[in-house]
Amino acid sequence: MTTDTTHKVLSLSVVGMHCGACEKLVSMNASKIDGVVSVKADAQTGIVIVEVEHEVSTDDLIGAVIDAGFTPGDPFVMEEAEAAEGETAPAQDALRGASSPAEPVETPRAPASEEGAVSPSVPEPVPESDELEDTTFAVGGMTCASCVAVIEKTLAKTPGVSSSAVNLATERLATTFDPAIITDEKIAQIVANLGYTATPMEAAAPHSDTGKVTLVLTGMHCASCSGLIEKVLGKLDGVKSATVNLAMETGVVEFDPAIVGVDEIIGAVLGAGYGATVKVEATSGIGSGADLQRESQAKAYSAEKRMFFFSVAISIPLLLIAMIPPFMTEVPQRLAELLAATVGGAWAPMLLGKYLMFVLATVVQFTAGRRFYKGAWGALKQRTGNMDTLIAIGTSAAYFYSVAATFVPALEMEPVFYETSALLITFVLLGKLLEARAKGRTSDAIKALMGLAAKTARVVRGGEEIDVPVEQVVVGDVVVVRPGEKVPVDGKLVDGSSSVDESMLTGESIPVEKNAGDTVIGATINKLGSFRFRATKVGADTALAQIVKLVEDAQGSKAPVQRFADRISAVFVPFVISASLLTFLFWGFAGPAIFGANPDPNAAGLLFEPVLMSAATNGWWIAALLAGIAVVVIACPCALGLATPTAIMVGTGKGAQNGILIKSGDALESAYKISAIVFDKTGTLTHGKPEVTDIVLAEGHDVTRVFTFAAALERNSEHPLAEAVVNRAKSDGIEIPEVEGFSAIPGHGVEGTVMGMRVAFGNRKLMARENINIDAYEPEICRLEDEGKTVMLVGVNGAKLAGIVAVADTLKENSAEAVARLQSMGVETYMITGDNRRTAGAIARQTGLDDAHVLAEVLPENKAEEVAKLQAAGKVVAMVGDGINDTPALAQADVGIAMGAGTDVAMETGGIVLIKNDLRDVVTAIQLSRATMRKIRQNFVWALGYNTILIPIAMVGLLSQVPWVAGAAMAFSSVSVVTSSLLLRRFKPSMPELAKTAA
Amino acid sequence: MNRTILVVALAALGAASLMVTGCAGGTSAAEKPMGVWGYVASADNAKLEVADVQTGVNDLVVDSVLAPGDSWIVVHADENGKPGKRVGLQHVSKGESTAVKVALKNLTTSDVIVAVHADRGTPGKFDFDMMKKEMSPDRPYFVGGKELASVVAVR
Repeated sequence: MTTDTTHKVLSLSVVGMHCGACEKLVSMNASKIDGVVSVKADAQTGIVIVEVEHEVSTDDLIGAVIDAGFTPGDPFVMEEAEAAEGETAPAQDALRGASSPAEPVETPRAPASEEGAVSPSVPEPVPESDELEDTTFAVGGMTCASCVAVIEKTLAKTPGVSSSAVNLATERLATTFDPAIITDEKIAQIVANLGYTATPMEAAAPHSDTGKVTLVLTGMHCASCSGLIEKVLGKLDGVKSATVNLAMETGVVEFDPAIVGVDEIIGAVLGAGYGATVKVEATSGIGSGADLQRESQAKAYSAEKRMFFFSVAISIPLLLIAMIPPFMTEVPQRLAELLAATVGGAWAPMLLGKYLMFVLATVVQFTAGRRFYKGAWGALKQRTGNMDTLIAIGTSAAYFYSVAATFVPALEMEPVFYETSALLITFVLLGKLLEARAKGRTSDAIKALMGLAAKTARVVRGGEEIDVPVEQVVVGDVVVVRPGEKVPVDGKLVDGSSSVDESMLTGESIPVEKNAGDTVIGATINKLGSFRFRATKVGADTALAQIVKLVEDAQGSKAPVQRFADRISAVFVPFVISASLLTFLFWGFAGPAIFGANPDPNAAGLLFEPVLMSAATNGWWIAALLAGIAVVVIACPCALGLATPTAIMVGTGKGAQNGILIKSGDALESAYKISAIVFDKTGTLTHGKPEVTDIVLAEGHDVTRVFTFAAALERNSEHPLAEAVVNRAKSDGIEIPEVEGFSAIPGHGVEGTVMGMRVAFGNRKLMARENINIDAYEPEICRLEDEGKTVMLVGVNGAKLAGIVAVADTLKENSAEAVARLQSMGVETYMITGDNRRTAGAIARQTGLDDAHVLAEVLPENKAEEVAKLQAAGKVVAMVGDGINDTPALAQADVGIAMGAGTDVAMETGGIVLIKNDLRDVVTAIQLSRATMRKIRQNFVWALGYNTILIPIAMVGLLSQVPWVAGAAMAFSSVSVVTSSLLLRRFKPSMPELAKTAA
Repeated sequence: MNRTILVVALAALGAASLMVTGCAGGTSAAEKPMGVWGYVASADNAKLEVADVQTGVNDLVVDSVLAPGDSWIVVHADENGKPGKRVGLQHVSKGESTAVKVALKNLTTSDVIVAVHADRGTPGKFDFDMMKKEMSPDRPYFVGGKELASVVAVR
């Protein structure tokens, strides 16, 4: 680093950024500060790199971040470095990538450079390249929240891994990493070293508007043939590139699907005298990765089931020999007789019984119980504990004590507890099995969505209609859909018309009319007509695949409430082991002191009877050991770990079924706290398109005549108000005549000659200019204007008013109902708009909004500020909007709710997307969020209550005589939590029911 | 099919658990039902032949004893058909021994019970406690489910 420094480069930590819009907001705000030279924000890493002149204060930067609606991290300034002009500072490297992939990269633990470019007091960030990769892994072998923590902690320390989030319920690990530093194989290896399996699913594929097809070519003999095909294809309009591989007999063609289709490309090759077909490739369509996971989960489930039955098959005879007369005497005796007769000598049945039990228990301990040792070892390597640790400790204590009592001559006459270790393992396996079955059902919604996809498509290839698997449909293909068939992929109608049932994706039960030029969505069902459409999105790009991915991502995300479980899990295992040791030592030392060396079981009441009986028959130390084992086994961190993610999975899945895409656990959790909702007016509360609402006729005129005049003058205008008039005329079947002498008068209106009469169409000023007296109509005009409508007057022959046409953006059918319902739920409702107060007030009155809650004349750039003001007043604010101008407000709000018909950027920014564009779904989303959070709280109460009650029960020795019952109780606990989450599937939105009632 | 197997397995496990819970009151090694509590041997490896009437003798004679290992010939006073205090003891080596004399001391009953015990504790030391007999290492042999023993009339 040179000493000729002019600027500082700060690496700032910013919490809450989650998309490009967030990055822009932060960058824009920070750039406004004097002295800030450049800003680069990265939502993925949560790092903002700011190059500043020395006089810029940290407080200003914090202010900019807060103004943008985000939270400064702690520490805020992660790194500070001097930067000479033209040099790249280390902090910038964090986002730009410090070196080329081929070059060795320093790990975060590398010492700071000698020049002191990096402050030694702050951790060095991992140098990352621009190209961060997201990969999701299917993870096997996790049992509880501690497993989640082990994996997350390990990956957090792994150089190159920017973020990692493990979801116990979905058994998935979502990672963001720098491929220049680490690969997905390496990450899988790291996870495997912890004792779990990790299978990479799909990496996020870059999206492209360019169509690309690989053709299998036949008939080529030499390089000229390949050159010829390339030439022929190159001449086709819309083909961007064509590369033919002679050796492989394939050709890769990139083309513009809007101009040319696959059929034309194949036709061109055929025309040149060669054969061509589309190469079958494994496309990354719906669920290719998910299938992989399901396959691996099914395999794991089968293996677990086999292991359980194996364990049962061995545990039952073990139980009989250990505890059930006459088996406990007869079996060892018969064995002794057999050995005496065959081998000779004399055999002690009691010892033979011990040996027999040792063999059976050893098989269970180290085959069925191996997974617990493996998991416990993985956790131990990370200096933490998990459920496996507890099970391994509990079963090992029982097993190894029994081994000593079998083979150590001094202990030969002591009793053994082999059945305890084997039954514990069997019951825990049973619990895991039942839990896996229940967990599988939590993703039913996503499976149902995936099941909607069509399997085959009828495409036009070489002029013929052929059925192909849907994976073979490529962008640009012309697809034929007949009545009753599913639309296989997304596309645009080129020919024919029909009505299409889109209810499976939008929830809207009325079929939608489709004509040439309209878009169709894959997985929807064609009703009566036939049509052809050109595929525009296939595989992973279709709307259905995107919805599935969105829901899967949400199900894989971690809700903030999960932190509560994580905090408890962190101390849970050490606490339980301590409690177990304490129990053992207490009964071992204090037991005989309090109750005597040979206690009377009935001496201290029912509470202590089991431990006293155990001590009377086996001695105090064995009674203490059994009580300790019960404590360590009965504790259940699994239930805690499953409480949140299973409920989130069911909740988000239920949302998707109702046309509500909840994009993260965070959004689902925030929605239940909403105390105020701000609705954008245009396009959200209203249709966003002006319509003719009122017609006032002058004496002697009729509607047809008025609209004939008005529509004739406006027919060539693209102004929304003009469109409203023309549309009304067309819908009334009015023939619109030609206009002569047309002229537009800025600020007044338009005029011209229609059917031989001079007509003026515009505002009051135009009427005044035409000397038309409108005094008699003033009250009516004022009334309409007070209702927020735009009033247009039709004057004829410069003498008389023919009529008044009022146009307004009308309220959506369900807006008022949704607002009323939200108000009844105690949520304050606001409207925000750039319109004037009178128009806004009119809409507010129709919607049922309080005048005081109308935020009118707000410039688009100030919408976020208005939301922030409400937040500053202590409200948890949701913003509902659809446009680009709503994006900052959506980002600023605690929950951004985007309308499905809105702009992509709004949907990207919103935490919740309403596919049906029905505001009643805002109510449903909040109700679903409340139901989910209620379920999470119930799960926590259950999981914590279970541990709080049963650990003390085990500590007082109530299970000393049957310590394996602790295993059964533990299994029941986690199964019950998952089952409780499944009850959320009964959730039904209340709004449609209300609507029916109202009807 | 799988479901049926699962249900059957669960039912079996549940039934077994219930049985065990019912039996869980006092099942330790010490309290297990007494069956064969000594060492089980076959008739080919363990035999005891002794005349059942040897009245007036001070040294009881065992005609033949076949022991599966180093053993003891133990003579107990017969107290109403049950072994009472020990009145004679003689060590025998593994294999067959004939005409083994066992000196009788402190005899108070007319009949005695002659039994063969294993020498599995400290070699040459009779490690047997009548009060904890099933936990003592020098327990008797059992053949065909019965203790290897005979009642002999000595007075």
